[in-house]
Amino acid sequence: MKLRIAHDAAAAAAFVAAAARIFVGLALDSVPIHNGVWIAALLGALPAIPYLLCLEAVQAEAQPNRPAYRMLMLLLASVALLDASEVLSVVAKTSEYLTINHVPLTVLTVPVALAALWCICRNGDAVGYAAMLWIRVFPVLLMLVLLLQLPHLHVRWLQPRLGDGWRAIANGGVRTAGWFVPSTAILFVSDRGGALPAKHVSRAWLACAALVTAPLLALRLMMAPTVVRNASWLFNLDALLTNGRAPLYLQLPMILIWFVGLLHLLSCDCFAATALLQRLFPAIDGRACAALVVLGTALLSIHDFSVALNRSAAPWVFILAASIVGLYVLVLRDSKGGEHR
Amino acid sequence: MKKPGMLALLAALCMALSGCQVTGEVENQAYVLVLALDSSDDGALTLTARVPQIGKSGNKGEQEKAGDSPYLVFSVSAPSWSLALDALQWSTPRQVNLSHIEMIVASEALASHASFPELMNQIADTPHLYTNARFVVCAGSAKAFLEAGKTVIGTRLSSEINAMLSQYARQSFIPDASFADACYSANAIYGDPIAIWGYTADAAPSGNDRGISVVESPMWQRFSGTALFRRGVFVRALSPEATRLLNLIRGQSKVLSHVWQDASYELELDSPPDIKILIDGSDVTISLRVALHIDDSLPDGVVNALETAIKADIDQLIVDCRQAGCDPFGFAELAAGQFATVPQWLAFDWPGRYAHAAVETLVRVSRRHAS
Repeated sequence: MKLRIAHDAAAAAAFVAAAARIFVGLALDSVPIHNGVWIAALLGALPAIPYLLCLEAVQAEAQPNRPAYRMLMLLLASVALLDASEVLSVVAKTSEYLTINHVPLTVLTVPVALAALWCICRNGDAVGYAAMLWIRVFPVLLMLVLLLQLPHLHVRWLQPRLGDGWRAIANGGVRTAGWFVPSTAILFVSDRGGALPAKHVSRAWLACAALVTAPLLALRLMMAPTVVRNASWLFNLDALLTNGRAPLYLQLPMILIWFVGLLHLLSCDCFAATALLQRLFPAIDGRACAALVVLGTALLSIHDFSVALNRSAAPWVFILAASIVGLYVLVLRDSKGGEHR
Repeated sequence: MKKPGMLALLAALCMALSGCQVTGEVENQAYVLVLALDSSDDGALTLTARVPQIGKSGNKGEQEKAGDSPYLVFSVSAPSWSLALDALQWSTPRQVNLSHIEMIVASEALASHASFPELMNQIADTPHLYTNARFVVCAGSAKAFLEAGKTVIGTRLSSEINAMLSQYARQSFIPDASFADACYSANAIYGDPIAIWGYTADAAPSGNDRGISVVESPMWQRFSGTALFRRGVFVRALSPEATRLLNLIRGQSKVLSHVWQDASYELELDSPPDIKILIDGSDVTISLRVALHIDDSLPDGVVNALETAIKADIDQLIVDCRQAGCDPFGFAELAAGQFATVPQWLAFDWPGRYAHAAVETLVRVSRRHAS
């Protein structure tokens, strides 16, 4: 089985994944940015777009036998795998938070991992076109959330508007750029079909991801006031999903948005890691690659160390990936120039 | 045909993932409806839980008369919140379920302790605890307050407390305060939290039943007034009359029942109160404008006197709150908007500025003209 995904499907999947990833990262992260969090989301898109431009240039000149190209694929696969493990951990912990009974984390992880495996085995277009469907359903659910929670939202809680200041926002922006990297991995493995305008589609989708996430984060800020204590992960999750104090029936649309967004992000990350693994080792069957990736994701997700590593590595991931991709583009340009001479 | 069969099998296998664990059946749960928190002299935390007996929802009044309460009360003491929860699990013959709590009651002594904000955070961080419960601070013992609770009207145990407190909040005798809101406010960069003030009929604080004569009632619990906090620590209680004004300023009530010279007048807000915070360097001026209307049959003298009386009462309320060091009005939220960053706002030291701010109150009462 060869893993493939059409470029437009990959762009849709990358859009949903990037938006969900930034939202998860910035809404639940304990590093304080406070009210400036939505500005950080927008700021993070600025370096991510040129990075994607360079990545597309590298992809256009696909040279799978070059060590540098293989290194880049390995980096993207690792980043996607590590990211998937954190996402799976978030899904499992959210399920644990919502269950009535105390259930071991491993029990909650297995069904989600199986779902991700099934998605990958349906191949890339299933992942991508499912994201396209979600893009149509999501605004309806969001409107429902807004309508139900409108009396509980406070615009004043958006102020002071810069939160912890520009320094913290810039820090959040770099982390946001780091969260774009795993989402771009699926674009890297997509079939471009030689259509040039398709390149611009993916860039537009990623810019949209930041534009969509910013109001979502602003919505989160209006749900519960900014707190100055070092809030726990559970405290932040509770504030996000239940508005801290919304009646139980109001929680369902928000929980649907949260879970479905996370499942799309997980399937996108896992598919990208699997497809990259298959390109690195073409002899291995797609299903075997999928099983390996999902198993790896599940094992990593139950260890706090790997989750914490992914959380703290986000800025460095971007710097590393951008440096490699940038250097690769420079080398490509030099070699092209040499050919012309 | 093979694939759907495989999918169905996988889905069915997922249902077996819980293995041999005990399932969360209703019969196996002890749903806590009210949780009372007390502190003892040796610093221990006493946790009292009121749990309904499933299957005894009907004819509660008659059951209680016969001494057969539809509720069970479990009480434990331990040095900390987590140990107290453990002890509660141990002492209750079913799994303690905190996901349907309707009311959290803290005793005045516990809520006044400096460690209370930390306890609130621990409660908020407890998994599967429903933090949207009403939050009450009571005079005397919280356990005694909980035990004084009776089901009087209605047939569903689960809706009894909610229906009662919603009614009091609608009448503006109490603030519409939840535990989650109080916990957020205690940790937030804006104003101070508030809670519902409660007491038992035999422990009524002097002056709190001012103007209200309870002749006879099967209700032994009283919910009347507001508990004020300063940075998460309880400082004092407000009367029901002051609570009505507070609810009006906070935008939680559009109607004001005002008692003046042994008569009650019902006024309605023309528009939400206009509050402005003017900051000039270190000087702060709070400007509050309230426009109300009243029945057009009242003479000019009464309307003018009401205007003066309400203004005096609002001024007194603000003075009382400032003396207690509390900002329950939401003034801080408005002031914070004038700062670019959180550190700048925190460095401004709002509690200190608020204590010395100039207050300009304007109350206008006009007659409602029949259209």
